Amino acid sequence: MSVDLIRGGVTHNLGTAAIMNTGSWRVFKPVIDLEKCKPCVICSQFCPDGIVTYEKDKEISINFYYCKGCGICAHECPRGAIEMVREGV
Amino acid sequence: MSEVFLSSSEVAAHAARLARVEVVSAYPITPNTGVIGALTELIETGQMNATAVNVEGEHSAASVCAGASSAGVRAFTATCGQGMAFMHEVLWMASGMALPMVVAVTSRGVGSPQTIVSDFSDIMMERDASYLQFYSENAQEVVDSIIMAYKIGENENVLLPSFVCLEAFRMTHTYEPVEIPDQEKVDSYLPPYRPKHAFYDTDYPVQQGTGSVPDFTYRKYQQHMGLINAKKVIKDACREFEEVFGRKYGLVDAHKVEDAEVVVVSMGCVSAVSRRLVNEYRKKGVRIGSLKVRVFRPFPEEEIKEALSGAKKVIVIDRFNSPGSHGVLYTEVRSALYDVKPTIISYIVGHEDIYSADMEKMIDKALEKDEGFEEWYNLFQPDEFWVKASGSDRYEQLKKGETVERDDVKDTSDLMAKGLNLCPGCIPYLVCRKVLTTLGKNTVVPYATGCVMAATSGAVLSGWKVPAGHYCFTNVASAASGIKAALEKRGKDYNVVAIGGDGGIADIGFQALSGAVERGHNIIYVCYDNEAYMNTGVQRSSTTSYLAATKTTLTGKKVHKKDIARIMEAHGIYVATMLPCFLKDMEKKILRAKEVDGPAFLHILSPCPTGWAFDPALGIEISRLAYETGAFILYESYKGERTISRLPKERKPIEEYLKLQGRFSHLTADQIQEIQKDVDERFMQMT
Repeated sequence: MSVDLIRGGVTHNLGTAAIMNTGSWRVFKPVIDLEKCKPCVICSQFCPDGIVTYEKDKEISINFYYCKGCGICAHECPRGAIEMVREGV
Repeated sequence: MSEVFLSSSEVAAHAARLARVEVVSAYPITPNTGVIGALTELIETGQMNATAVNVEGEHSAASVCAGASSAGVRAFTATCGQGMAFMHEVLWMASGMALPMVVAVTSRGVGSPQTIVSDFSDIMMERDASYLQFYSENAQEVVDSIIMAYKIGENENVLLPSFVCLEAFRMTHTYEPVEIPDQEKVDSYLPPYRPKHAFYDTDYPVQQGTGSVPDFTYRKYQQHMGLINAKKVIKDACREFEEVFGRKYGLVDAHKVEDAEVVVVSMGCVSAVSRRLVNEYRKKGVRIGSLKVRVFRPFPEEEIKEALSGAKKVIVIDRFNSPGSHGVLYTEVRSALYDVKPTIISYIVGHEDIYSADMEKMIDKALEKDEGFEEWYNLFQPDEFWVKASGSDRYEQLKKGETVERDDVKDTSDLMAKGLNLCPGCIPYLVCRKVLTTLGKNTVVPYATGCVMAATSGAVLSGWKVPAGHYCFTNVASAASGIKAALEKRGKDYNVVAIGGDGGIADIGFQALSGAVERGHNIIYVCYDNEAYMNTGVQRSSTTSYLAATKTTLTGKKVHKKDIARIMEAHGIYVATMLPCFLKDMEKKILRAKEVDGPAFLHILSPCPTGWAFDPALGIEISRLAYETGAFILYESYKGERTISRLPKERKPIEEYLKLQGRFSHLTADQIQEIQKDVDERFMQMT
């Protein structure tokens, strides 16, 4: 490669950490019971990784490429609509 | 003597114990944390009779040691990299004051760019600080060198402090069999420290730390002569060490150099590789030897000249290159060989790991060529991935004056990158996202060293979607001041948000914060307070809660949490305390911080599943309990007027908050009552 990296450790390409598959860390997976889900989007607001999303007139969805399975969404859900299920069982 | 299986970090702590060090002070920086952890354990379990002073920065760690040494006891610290740089002024002061303390240097490169891997840029930065410099190769040499360093440094003809170098990770995190000497033998080798030159005693008062004009160079000459005298003192100390402990050391370690035509010269643990390879090459009939420079200051010029006088070719391996010149070891070896003039080959390996295969390539190439040469061995070459990830193509377009398409920052729904290497359930990740999405894309983020920095600045990968920059651990607020001043000059009305943890804001970064706030720069300071040094592996900070266990407070912190928010209130600025469980309240306060004229300080209690030892699902729940028990009070304050944001109708007992956290699992019923009383008192006082 003849092109050098930009001096000073500067990057002109932001947000590139998104290639990291942090979902591979997961031990417990959040499973949403869509019948119980209103949706109130509390899970989405509290998700530290910002990967629980809700679009109007659509169901709530979790991006499992990133979800580390911390369980905050399940713990904070006021309706108990999210269950943490062990991966691979 | 007992043979045990330990890392060089743990062994360094044992050496301090055996040397009967009485004051230790260190500040967590990867990878010195193993030394600090081992020292804490030795002291808290009563195996070592020393006082550990857990400080707010390396400048203080070195100062505590210098202060202790000037008061007449043995003192010990460990540091590296940026931390050693922050010690700089104090290190020179200590050698000038002839204080024979020992600094274990878990050597690591000095940034930017930040690295935690070893090269000698930190210790070489202090090359001329008038310290004895010992470079160890393995854990055994670490324990032996530290014990010897006290004996040599305390000699009346030397009276200087020492660096004992143990390389980052290659040694600090590598376990190996090592003989820990018996205390009795160490006592016979190293008598108690009874300084005749520097100590404090009211029956025999002395004054220390002179100012100087006419005698300045004379004083420097005294330091120089201390090091020159040290050559003989080191030889004597090594001879005596061999008699007592049976292990042989010297200024250099020459291996098969007597008839060698080629000699490999190196320092530190790479010397083990070269010695092993020398044996292999000898089997093939190559007349080769190796020379380890064990002591770099004083520089063993005669010993090097003697060992290399018969060599036709000398290969020097450097872990640090003096920019704009050459490898530091190479330069000094070449100078020592001025009369001999062999062909000299210089390899600069920086922080690269050097395995046998690498060393073979290096030796083979040197054997092939007739002329001397200089080569940066195994220099990283950015591949297509790196070039693309760093946006080099955009930079090229920009240089040509072309319009650059920024599709990477088009989506502004989340201004933090996904996929950050933060622990599951990390609350600061949530906090940073909330701050940025509330303020919007016209925001510039300088951020302090810490968990968020490590996760957002990993090699070439970026964790932000707004302009952002990492400076040091100490200076986020002052760097932000410069950014704000420059943006104002450029007519850019951006939000400048300085983000840091409790370390970067309330501890090591506090001086910069207080200064910047006093100057009135219109900056928002965000402190995600997870109540300890989490990025280095959970060491106590000044904001760690009373009685909470950390790696440096195994049985609980014995002093109270620094109330950083109230200290900031005293600066007369906008201050708000926030909890992650109340996101609307947080949003309101972030917007208020933006609107107020002048600086604003936002303090967010950020439960940390890793450091506080709780189920990662409970981060929000624990912050809610902090509110419901009154452990954390939500308020705003502007120009000294405090307004409570909200109060629980009935406060829950503090035990509800404590019992979910492993860091409080050791508490007795009485201690819980004591904390309850503290919480009650503070609650009454504040509300």
